[in-house]
Amino acid sequence: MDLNMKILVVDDFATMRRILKNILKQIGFSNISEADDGKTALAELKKEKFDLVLSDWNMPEMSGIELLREIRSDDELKDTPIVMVTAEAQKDNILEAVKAGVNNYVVKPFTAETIGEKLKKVFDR
Amino acid sequence: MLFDDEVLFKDLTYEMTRQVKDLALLIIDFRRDLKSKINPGITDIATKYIPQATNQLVDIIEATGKAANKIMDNLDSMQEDIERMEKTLTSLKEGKVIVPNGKNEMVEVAIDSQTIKTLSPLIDYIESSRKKYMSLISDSFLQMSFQDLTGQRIKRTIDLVSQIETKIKGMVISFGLKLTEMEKNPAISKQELQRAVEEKVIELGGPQKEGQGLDQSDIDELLANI
Repeated sequence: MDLNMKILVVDDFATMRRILKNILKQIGFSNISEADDGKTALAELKKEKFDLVLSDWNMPEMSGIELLREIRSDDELKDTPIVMVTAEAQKDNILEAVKAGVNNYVVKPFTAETIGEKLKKVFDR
Repeated sequence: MLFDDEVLFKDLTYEMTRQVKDLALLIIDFRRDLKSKINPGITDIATKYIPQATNQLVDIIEATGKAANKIMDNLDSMQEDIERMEKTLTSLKEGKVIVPNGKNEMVEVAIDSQTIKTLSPLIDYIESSRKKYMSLISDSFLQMSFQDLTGQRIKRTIDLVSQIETKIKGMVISFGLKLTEMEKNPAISKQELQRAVEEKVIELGGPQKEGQGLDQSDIDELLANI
């Protein structure tokens, strides 16, 4: 796992963005950007290349699942790894995200170890 | 038989209207009560502007968000200090330490191996404490996710109450306007009546902010008309 990779954290709650950034920094990542909804995230992704997206599900403007579908349907962005980090722990939600092409799924509340393990799995594949 | 049916449906209509009115009053009372519990000093506003109760829930999200951010600022600061402490310990083990010289300058001081050996139990103790505090700080960061999780649930409650309120308000207004218009103008056509009601419902259906939508007197008037 390249610790210099560019990561985009997408969550409408500033607290959660900060928590995720702190965990990512603890793991060793330093190139972290953030967006507060799917629409802003999509604009950021079209502006510059990111190596990983960590996205919440429930957000205003554009939800995480909508963002996931937008990314997967865009020729330029479709290969971007996406991990959903969400309180949506229903089986249907997880299946929906898997069908839409999510790389991994972390349920809130999570631990730093869980985030680390899931990222490792995404990049070890 | 037809007469009996008319009486039955009239009774049912009045019964339903009464129930809807009770439901609307229940929601208004609930929100007044909620408002008074959150901020008793401004209950007078709550009696005028129902939607402000929702704003209070939004305020809770913002207040907990601010507090969470302040706590995380403190944790960040502690984390930075502990990271500095780690660097100091590493250089100390290597026989040197950087300290302020009293002239706003940092100077490197060499420490002999015997002193380091003597200090090693203390260095080990500080090192284990540093690890423990770093772990506690990381855990405290994670625990702050309560703000996100409770905030999301409050947001859902706000959305649900707003949707119910809009629906009930639409029904109350629709019934109230129909009855009022029919009383004022018994000859009004069904289409004209429906159009007037729809216009009013659409006008009041959007998200309400202070100065928009119905105020308490409008609501009271409508309820009184049912």
